[in-house]
Amino acid sequence: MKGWSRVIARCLCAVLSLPAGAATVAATDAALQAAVATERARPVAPRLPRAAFLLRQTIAAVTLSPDGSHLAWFEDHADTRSVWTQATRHNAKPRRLLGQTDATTLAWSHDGRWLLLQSPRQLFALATARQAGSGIVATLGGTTQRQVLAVDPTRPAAVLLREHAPARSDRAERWRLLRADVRGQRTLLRESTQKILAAALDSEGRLAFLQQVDGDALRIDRINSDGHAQPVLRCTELHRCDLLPRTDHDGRLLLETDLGASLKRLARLAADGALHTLAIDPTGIADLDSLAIDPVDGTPRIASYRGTVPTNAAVDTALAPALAALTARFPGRNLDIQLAHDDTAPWLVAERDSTLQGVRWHLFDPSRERVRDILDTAPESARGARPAHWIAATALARKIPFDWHASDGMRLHGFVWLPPGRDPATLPLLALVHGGPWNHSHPAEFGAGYSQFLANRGYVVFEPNFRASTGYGRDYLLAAHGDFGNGRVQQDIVDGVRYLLAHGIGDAERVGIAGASFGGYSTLLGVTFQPDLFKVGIAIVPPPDFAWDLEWVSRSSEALNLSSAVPFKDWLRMLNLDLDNRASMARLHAQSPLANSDQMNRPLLIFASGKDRRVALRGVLGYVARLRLEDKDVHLYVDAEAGHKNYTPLSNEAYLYLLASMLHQHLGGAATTPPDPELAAWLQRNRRLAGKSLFDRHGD
Amino acid sequence: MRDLFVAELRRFRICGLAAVLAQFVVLGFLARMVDLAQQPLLVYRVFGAVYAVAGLLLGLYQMGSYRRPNAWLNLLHRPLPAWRIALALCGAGIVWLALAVALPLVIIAALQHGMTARVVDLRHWLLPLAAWQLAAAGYLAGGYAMLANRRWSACGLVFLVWLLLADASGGAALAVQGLALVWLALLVGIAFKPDLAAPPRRAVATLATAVPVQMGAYLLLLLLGFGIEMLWIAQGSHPNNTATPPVGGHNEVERMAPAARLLAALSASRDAQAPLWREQIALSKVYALGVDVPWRLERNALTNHRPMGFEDAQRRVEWIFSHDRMRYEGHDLGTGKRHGELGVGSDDGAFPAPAMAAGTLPGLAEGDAVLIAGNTLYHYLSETAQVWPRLRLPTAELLLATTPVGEALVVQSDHALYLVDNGALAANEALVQPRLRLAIPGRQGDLRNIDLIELVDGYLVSFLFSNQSHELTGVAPYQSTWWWRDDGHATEVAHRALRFDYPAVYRYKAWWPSPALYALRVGAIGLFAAPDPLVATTPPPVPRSMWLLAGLLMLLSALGAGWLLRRAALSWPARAAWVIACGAIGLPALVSLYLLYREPT
Repeated sequence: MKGWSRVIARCLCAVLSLPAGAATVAATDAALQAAVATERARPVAPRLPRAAFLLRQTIAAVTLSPDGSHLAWFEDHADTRSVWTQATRHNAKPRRLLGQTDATTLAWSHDGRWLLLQSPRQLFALATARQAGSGIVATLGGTTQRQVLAVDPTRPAAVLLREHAPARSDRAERWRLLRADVRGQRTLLRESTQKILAAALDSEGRLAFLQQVDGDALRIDRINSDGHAQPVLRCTELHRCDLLPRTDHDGRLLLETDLGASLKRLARLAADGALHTLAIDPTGIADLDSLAIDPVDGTPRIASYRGTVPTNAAVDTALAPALAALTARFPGRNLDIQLAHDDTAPWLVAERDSTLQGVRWHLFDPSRERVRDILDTAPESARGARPAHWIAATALARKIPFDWHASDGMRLHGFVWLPPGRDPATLPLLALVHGGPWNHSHPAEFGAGYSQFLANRGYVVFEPNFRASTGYGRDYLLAAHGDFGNGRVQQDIVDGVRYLLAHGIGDAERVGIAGASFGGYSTLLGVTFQPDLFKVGIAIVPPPDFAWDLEWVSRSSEALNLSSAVPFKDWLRMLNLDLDNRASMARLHAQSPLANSDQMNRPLLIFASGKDRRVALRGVLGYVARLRLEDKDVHLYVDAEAGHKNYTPLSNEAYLYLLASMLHQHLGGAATTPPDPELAAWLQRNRRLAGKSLFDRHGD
Repeated sequence: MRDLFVAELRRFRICGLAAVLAQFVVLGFLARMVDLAQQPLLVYRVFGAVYAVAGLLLGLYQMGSYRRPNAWLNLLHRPLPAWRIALALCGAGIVWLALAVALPLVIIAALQHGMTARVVDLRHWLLPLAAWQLAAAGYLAGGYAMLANRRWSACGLVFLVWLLLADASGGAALAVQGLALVWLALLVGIAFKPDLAAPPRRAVATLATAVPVQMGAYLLLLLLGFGIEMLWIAQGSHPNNTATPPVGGHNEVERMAPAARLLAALSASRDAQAPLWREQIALSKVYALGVDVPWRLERNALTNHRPMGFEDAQRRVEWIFSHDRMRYEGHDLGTGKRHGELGVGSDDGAFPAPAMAAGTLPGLAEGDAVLIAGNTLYHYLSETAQVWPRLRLPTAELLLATTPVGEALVVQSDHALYLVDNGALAANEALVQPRLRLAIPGRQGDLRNIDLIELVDGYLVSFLFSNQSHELTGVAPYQSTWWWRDDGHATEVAHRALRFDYPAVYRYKAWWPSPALYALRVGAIGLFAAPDPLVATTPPPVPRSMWLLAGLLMLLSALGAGWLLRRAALSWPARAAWVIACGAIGLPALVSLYLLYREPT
């Protein structure tokens, strides 16, 4: 990711990136009712154990070599990650290249002879053809904040690095763009006093375009052959401008941008400075999400959009027939495609869906339009790493996309999960709000398993992509106008819930709200200001005062991580959250759950993390202290060692257990299965405050 | 005299040479194992004690061999003045001590300097002199103990106690040692006379003898008090050892866990938010701030409180601070070879004060270190092997500690707490300015605990001042609690006075036996030493009851002196002087009078 996309993707929180579903488009009420009827006609799913929703895939980061002849991937067992490769031809045997690695990403070098393993601390080049020379290409992070920008698309085996020389007592800060080959040889491509974000190379490997931060804007310069920089594009006010790392054959810049429009699209920058659209969502709803690029010449060939339903469209029309055959083979599925340079080489396809736990991998032969399943290995249980089985699709709910109109008339998008075979009008409903708020719930994805688990326990789960969510264009993103208190954004969620209730989905007397990070904040708002609607709240790492928390983050080192482009406070200002605007901040303070704790009269469960750098624990504790002083029914669990995102298997299962226990007690859903001793110990260890309702007696 | 000196040298040649050899072997072995120039204070104290005891034993033995009446008569019936005989004997002893104690140290230092990359500063070259002076002081104290009248001859040990407690460092410490040596030599000279049992006659000799005797008596009184305290502890009602400490006293608060201590402090608050803060204390992590640099670091101090170096595990280099260069000098941990010099900034400038690896900063990389020197916090970056200043406090303050608190760093000086945001520290490698400052409401020497929790709008900080409240130097104990707000304002929200757990007679046990000698003790310990802000306290005025007790004892001492002197063969002015001295000094003076002029029974 590049530029603003990266900025937004690194937004505050978004712990619960909630999953996916198969795909009937419910763009109208009728379509939604039809989808409801379909789900009701399905057989009732058996009740599945909690742990079944928390499996771990043992295959990760599968990637296709540039010539399409080989695959490479990580294989995870217990705490060990190894690197494997395999030829794409039939009956080829997998070969283990490395027994253990701490790498998190995997990429092929341009010549396909090296695998580049990137961990937070280093970039390691691993020979794939038994040649000599495997070793560390560069250390990463550290005081120079060195990071990999891209695999060099013009050199056989090199990467583009960016490093930072921080300001010291004797000098101002500087940024450097470097090329490093697998032998560690480095070439300085550019040095600047302005922050370098991205670069595009021409076919000769020369630096052709450079993207830098210029004040609160992103500036793209053309770099002439004499090294002189000429500004050609300026992306202000959060317009997204993400450079592709290689220009086209004529040396023109390709970029993903929403300049001049709302939706992000693939565009080409002409010599006269005009932008020519090459690909845009034909439905006019979604941003361009990803591109399948020719790994050798850098040509974008397939564009993917993931708004309400995942779609793929051929940028290179020559691929259209094969792509049509592939999507016909996997209707409604969320497909991520990797291409080789050779048109006859197989495509690597990652298949996701809301009823598909884990990712399935396939090789697609575009000439014969045949699909071959690969890497079909059994998952492991998240706790204990024992062999397990994926849940059958027939037992899983579907993530149904639908739209509703907010009370101010704006069309909004979201998803609803319905327990199969049940009358949704009689079921309790839970609004599960995503974090961010600049993030979104993705279509056709299983996700973290929370929604599926709740659906299996008999709850209707609503995942709203309220205004300010990403993925639906810049206008949608900015439509909140900073109204993140008990205002417009919260009303979007309330409107969505009322829309579902009005359409016979959910029991109006049994509605709850839950979420993490911003979703947790929304939960606190819901139980504070809409107690007639929301009867119970479960908030994970919730900021009790959004404005205060943003101020706190702005002083922390996390602000540097979040402001990968422009400074954090400028970024927020452009999102209509000006921390220096006393009036707007005072309004958010006044509308915060913290300032209105006396109005919170619903049972509330809060999870917080001791090492959370995005939501201050001190704020959560201050809020709970007020509730406690006011004798409210509040439960608090604090995992002292966890950060903002807590992926430890035990914590995840504890979340599921407590979520189900709380909802069972207050919304009347299915009863919970008692925790095993290890989980009970976790509950005992992390319970900071027990509320009035002793729903977690088993954890004592 | 020369013959006597040479004969005395020969007399101890075997054990002297054996001592030289033993010391050399021990030092040589230790030098192979560790860097003797970078040992903690305890090691130097053990060495110093061994040297002083060795000197003491030599003095006892050497003078003991002459003290028998016949031997003493033979010795003094030489055609030499007594002082020259003393000089010959003591000169030989002191020369042997120089050879056995100082020479091996000099050789080891020279070997370390010439054959290793370890740091050998001027202060290390002065260590042999200090060691010799300690041994010589022990030797003279031993000699005096053997020669003088047994009733007061042990008073020479007072000087060894003085050297143990003296605050002076570096050259000043050598001067204090020299002063003790001169006084001890004077005592030996006074005692070196035909009638060893006779008290000194001249006023100067009497004064030179009476002061250490009185100080010895004073120390014995303190020891007696210590013994009584041991009985008190054994009996089970000592406030430090009771199962339940006295309610409302400082001992109770000192024994509390941080959260309980904070709640106790808040019990005195009338602030409307106090109930909310109590709830938040129950939920929050309470940060108990500690001190990373508990001692004042002085340039050219002879010893270290702890080794003055740190290891860069990434580069496999150990950096040792050189007081001469005021920079670090590195040596490779694998090969031991010199690795260059490390100062401040890109030009390796000198540190303005001795630096110590202590404290922390957010996001330290492997091999990095944090250094504290005077009022400045430095970051050592392993990646570039450079040191950059990150935080500089006002010149008059000493930076003592850093504690990560949430997403900030709380920095403690001897005057104030500072809060620096992690965002500011992580943004670059330049100097940062603290966002908040809170003056510490008391003196550093009284400060025992700082407890802190994070609030939504700032911090709740509680200070406990009771560090010396069991003694006369400590402040009347209290807890002071502050609401330290993020907007920069700070308000005291609770001030809780605590009770003394010990009666005044206990707390002032060093004072009421003799206010004059207490003042002398304080002056002697602080002689030539720079004021230490880390031990500065705010003692309350001496209670009237203690004044009365001390006055009564002084009066009784004066009366006792008059009674003791009624038959003493002293002139009228001498008698008057003793009565006045006993009235002014108190019991120790009376004890010294009794010891010096008691009629033989």
